[in-house]
Amino acid sequence: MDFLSLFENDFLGIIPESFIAFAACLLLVYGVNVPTHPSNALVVNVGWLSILTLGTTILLLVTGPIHEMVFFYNCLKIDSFSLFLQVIILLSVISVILLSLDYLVREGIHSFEYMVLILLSSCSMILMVSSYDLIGIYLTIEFQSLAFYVVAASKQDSEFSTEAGLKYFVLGAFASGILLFGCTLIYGFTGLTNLEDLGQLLTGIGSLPVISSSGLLVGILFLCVGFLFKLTAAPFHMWAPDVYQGAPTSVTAFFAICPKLAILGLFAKILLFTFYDLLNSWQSILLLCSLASMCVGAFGALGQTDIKRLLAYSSIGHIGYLLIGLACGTVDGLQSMLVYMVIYMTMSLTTFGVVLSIRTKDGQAVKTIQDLAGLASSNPALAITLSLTMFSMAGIPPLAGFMSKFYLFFAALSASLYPLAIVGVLTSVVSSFYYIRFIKIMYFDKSEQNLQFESLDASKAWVISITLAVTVFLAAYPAPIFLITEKLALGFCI
Amino acid sequence: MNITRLVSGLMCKTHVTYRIIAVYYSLALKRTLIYSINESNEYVIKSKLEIYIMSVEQVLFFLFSSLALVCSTMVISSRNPVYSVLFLILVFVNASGLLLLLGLDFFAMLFLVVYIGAIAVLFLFVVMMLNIKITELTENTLRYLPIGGLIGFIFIIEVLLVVDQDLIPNLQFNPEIGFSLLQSVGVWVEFYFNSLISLITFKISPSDIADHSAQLSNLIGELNSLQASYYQETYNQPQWVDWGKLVGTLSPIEAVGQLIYTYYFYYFILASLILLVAMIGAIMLTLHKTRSVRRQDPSSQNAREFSKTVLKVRHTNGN
Repeated sequence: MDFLSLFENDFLGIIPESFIAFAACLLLVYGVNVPTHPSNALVVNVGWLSILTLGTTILLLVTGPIHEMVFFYNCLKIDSFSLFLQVIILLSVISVILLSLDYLVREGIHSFEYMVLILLSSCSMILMVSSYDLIGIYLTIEFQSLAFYVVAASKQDSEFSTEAGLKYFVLGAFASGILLFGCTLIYGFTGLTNLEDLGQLLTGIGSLPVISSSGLLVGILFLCVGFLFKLTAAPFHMWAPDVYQGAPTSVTAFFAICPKLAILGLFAKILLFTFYDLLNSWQSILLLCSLASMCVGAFGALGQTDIKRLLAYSSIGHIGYLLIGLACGTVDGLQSMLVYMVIYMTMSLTTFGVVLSIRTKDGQAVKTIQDLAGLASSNPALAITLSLTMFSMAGIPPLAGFMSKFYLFFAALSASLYPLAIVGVLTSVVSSFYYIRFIKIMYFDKSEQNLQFESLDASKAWVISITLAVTVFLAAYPAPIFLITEKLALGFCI
Repeated sequence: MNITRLVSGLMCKTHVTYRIIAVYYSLALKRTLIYSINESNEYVIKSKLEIYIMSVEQVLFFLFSSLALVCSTMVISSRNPVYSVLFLILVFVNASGLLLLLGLDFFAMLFLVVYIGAIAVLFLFVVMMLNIKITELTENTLRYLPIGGLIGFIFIIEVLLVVDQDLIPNLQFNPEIGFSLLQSVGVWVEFYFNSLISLITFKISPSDIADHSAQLSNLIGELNSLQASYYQETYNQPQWVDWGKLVGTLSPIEAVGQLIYTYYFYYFILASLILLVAMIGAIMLTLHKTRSVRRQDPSSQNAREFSKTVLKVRHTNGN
């Protein structure tokens, strides 16, 4: 039998992913063979090459010959949903690399493997959102996590970074085990791993009076727990603040933005595409996790003084809001979740960009919120940027953050999830306390040590200005993003 | 065929929880109807010898699995860590024996090579190099027993609640002998066990149990009385052929090769990328590019002039 004919056109569908993998291997060879000197930071060089690679990948994705196909023996599926997610994931990775180039040089993280690992993990993320099988999902998640553990510990001379890496490794491996256990149970009780086959098998099962196999439900529960762990949703969030605080700030920015887009997209695909007929079973899990995440995000952040820790709690809260959209299980819910994802990405990019570019007089990176005191006088532009972003995160009307939250709560109300909407509004009121505290410290607090004025490097300045422009002016012309997300959400109904 | 009709009739009568037991008996009865084909393409009823071979497999299964359980208990309870690793190796050997019983010869070998050849030996190296004191490990082992035991008990109850009765294996029923004493004990144990679970989950009330046990004893009695007529009926005319035996099958190696390298080669490549990440990570985290590390520069090493590398130094001080 000529097996080549099985996969005749399949490689056309995977051109972007294989391009990233090959480019990562090439960059690895390049980095090993170029002589390194302490003065010549190879990480910047490889970083720019990685940006080039990722940009080319976006072009390959958008102009690819095939836009809708199931291939590699039902292992992968590309469609408009996965294309959208892949493009925003790659854009966010590019932005994070642009933000972190200057930081890496200053903090003395010179190893070029950092960039290779980020490249490989972005390869895993874009494979993840197009996975079509439980085995593929587990493998891509493991691929991504393994790269993350190493990147979290990449600052070798810092104990915090090593601790973060180790903690992330142990807890992440635990979560992967739970995820795999869930997949095994689902396979054991249905004999299927393919997402479409599972969806077909479970069609109409919700209308039966008794769901015969409780093992399947336990499998889905374990699967959800694994995903929620990776998403840092509330009962499974305890690793996030420590890891976010300990890892280098550029890595924190990467962790807070990119993997969440990928894993949440995949989670939505599994729940809404495969297990939609078991909506009643998983809706309550998501509902509880969403409520808990919003509360933890709002109240946990109140007492924090460390900026990165605070941002970690803030991201837990945002995950809670995002899960509202998923818990609705409606077209509106999915659409509002996608809109929120994009806006969360831009707001976080601005925040981390500002945090990465503020330094004290002795050249140290800022650690606590009090270090921001006097920023309004030393660098007014950055202060205004940060204030606008914080207002947006808190959900003050004309900004993008308000729009996304409004739309999300509206979707929750129309799906009769009143507790989620009410708690969401209340916690966003509570969380605006610590967002606005940033502004109070920057503008009104006297500082003992003055911050130094530094002009930003061009790459960071571009990213910050573009994302800020999106945050501020999205309300003026929101049509494109709403149209795209509407189309994607409707794609699930077909 | 009236035996199945009778069993299904009984199934309708009995309670849902115990209906499944009737299904087991119908399955057990069918199971003995398997005919094999000899060289001259005649249907031959399986002889008693093959039933005997089945029981050897069962004995081996119980031997391997019970040894594995004992050894894995010894892994965590033995005082000397080296003994623990050796017991771990024994667990792996037993597990590969279980794989052999399933007919997965290639996997059994792979299991031995990977787990014993690579992982257990690595463990052994680490344990021997770390030089752990034996006394350190012995203290405080019983301290966590209450809480650990409680959690374990809760977990067992949860698993029992989840595990449906579909997962309980069929009882062996030999129509030539009828129920043996052991089998009827097994049926009753299973019955009371299921009743207990249903009691815990409030599916039935205690008064139901007596009712159902009467039904069950009726069922067993009828099955036993039917056994003789069944034997008369079925052994004279072949009913059906096990077509599965006639289909050509692949050996495990061929099947694995086809799955991994042809159909699901994508996962294979993905796994190789994961290994690449692991390798890069290990090198990145352990290779310190600082001055204090002494390293060799191969090019300058080779470019040295050998005649100047050995110097004669006259020792002047002292003798």
